[in-house]
Amino acid sequence: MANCPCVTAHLAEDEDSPVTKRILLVTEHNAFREALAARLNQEEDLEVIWQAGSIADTRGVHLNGIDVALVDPLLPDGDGLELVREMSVVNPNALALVVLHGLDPAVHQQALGAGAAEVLNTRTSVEDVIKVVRRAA
Amino acid sequence: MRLILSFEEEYRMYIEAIAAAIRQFRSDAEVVVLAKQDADELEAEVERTGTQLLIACPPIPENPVDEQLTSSIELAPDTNQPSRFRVGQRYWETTNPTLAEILSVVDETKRLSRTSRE
Repeated sequence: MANCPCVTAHLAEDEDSPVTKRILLVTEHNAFREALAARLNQEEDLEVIWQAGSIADTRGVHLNGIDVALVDPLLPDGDGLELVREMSVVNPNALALVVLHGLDPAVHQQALGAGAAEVLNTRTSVEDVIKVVRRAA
Repeated sequence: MRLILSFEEEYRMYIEAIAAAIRQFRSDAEVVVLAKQDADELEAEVERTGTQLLIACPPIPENPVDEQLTSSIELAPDTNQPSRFRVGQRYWETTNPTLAEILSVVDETKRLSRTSRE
């Protein structure tokens, strides 16, 4: 990928500021990933702190520091659901969202079985993605 | 300048994100997102609005839509398939392009359109 794992310092927030949701974004689609990260970062309470186009690109990220992971299971070097499984063990409070292409119910079930809190589809609007991300604890 | 993003419903998340990013980083561009249309409808829309750049899932109809455009991007949803770029008479392919590559086409299209008016 034109990998740009971007770790951003977390700034102190005053009491009136919404708590920022820290997001891990994992999908092989470069333009989509970079565009979605830019859109999410426009929201005051959301911050993409790490982008990855492969399983390997996620190796440096501290899963404990993530509030939401948005994961495409189809990655060039493996199954993104493995990352969802790892997250559900390391950081069970985080919200794992899986983005699927198509409507295969078997794949949907696999994603939920791996620990996904919700399964989105590429037909989902970006505004609906933002609403779901905000549900993170 | 005006650009149209025309995609099938199953790629809505992709196209809305890319449209939002173009609006964010190229605020002078007029960005329109259209549901996938047939060639005749797309031609009419391009002609009616004077659209200069079309970004769509492949294939973009070669004629007559393509002739009216300054630039076009056939953005392959499959990252293993090449995306095809045209700016003026320059053609190239890229597999899994970045947002920066798309924005550079927006910039080059704007420059070419300005030059052709002068």
